[in-house]
Amino acid sequence: MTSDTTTGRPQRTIPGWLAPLSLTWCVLGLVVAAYLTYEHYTGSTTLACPASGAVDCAKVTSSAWSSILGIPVAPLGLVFFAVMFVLCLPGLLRRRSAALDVARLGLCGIGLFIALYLLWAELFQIHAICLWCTGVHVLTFLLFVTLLFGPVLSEPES
Amino acid sequence: MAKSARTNNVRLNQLRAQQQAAGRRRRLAIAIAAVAAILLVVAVLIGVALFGPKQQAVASGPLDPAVYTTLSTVPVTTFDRVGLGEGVSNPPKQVSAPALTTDGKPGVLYVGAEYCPFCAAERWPFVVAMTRFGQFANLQATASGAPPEAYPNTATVSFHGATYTSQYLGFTGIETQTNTQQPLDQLTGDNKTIFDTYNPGGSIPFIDYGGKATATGASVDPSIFAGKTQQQISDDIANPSTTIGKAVLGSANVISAQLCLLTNNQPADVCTSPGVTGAAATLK
Repeated sequence: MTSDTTTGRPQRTIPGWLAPLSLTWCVLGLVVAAYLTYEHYTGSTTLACPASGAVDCAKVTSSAWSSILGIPVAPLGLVFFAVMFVLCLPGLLRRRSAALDVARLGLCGIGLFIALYLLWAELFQIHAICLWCTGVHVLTFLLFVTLLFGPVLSEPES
Repeated sequence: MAKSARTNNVRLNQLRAQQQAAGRRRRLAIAIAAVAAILLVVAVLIGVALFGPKQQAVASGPLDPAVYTTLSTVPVTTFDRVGLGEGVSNPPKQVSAPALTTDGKPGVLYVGAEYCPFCAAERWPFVVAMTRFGQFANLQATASGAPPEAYPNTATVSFHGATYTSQYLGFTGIETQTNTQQPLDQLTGDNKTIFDTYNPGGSIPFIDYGGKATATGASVDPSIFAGKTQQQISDDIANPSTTIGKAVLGSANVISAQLCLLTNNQPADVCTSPGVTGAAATLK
């Protein structure tokens, strides 16, 4: 076991790809969620998305399913990726902390669950797919997979 | 003795390494299984959506009296609080047409169809506004057409078989097709002439307000009703802080202002209310 020379906290060796890859998903998620949040609060008037029946972003983002317990999902996604960005900073990823691991994977799991719920709503309630929302869902899935395999593939304790 | 201890250490390290490798393989298997399960759920959702049984149109039936009571007893103060509301568009356009009368009173003609999602949306503010001037009987509960119809299964009411009683206005409601697009009410005679003359594109819903104004299409977004029942929608309408309440009551104020032009501003408590007088400015 190693420790951070400045804080003395126990550290672990993580795969070299874990931090940059998870941060990449977080940044991309932040950008898309910020765009959807902007569109949410400006009436989706400039939403760049085709409206061809099966694909109709405005129909999805302005539907009754665009809020959960009264909270719009677009800013919720923004907060989600902002928190995940912090949790995926290299220093925190390397820190050997079960609480941090559970928080990181648990929060991402909740995000993924909400993404699946929204996919269900799009397919069976709204009958339209929002491409930008799908982008957020895919990024959430990729982040979950990255965070799931990262610790598994980390170097074992010496 | 020392050699034996070294041998034991080596074996212990080997055992530890084997345990770590086994633990790692187990965690890897769990991770792979978790990802596979998620992908399976996504595949099942998409598969059912694409190839599963298609949704059937919602059966029509009598409207719950409690829903009608909620729609027809919205307090004037609630209308006034909403004013023009939010998400309201497409107000009636003033026209110069022969006066439309029903039973000697200014008449209102509605032409729509039960499958039509924009009709489904428009009936909510229309009914709310009309009940400020009279009362409906035998309104039906129905929903717009099933997928692939846009805004499918939007819960609404139907005017098929309904009657309207008012000392100010007459009303004719025609639903030309069911929500499975089967023939329903016939559009004939003067009503057909009006529909064809003032709505050459044949759009529905079409409303003629006494020959003084016409409206085509919905004044509120059908998507705001998605996934809600008649009960939920009527509850939201009565609540001016909801998206549905702001849209439906705002539109109902505009429609009320149009109706007041037909009734010589009667009843006064409706036609002189701030919500209606404010909405009158949108009529052109």
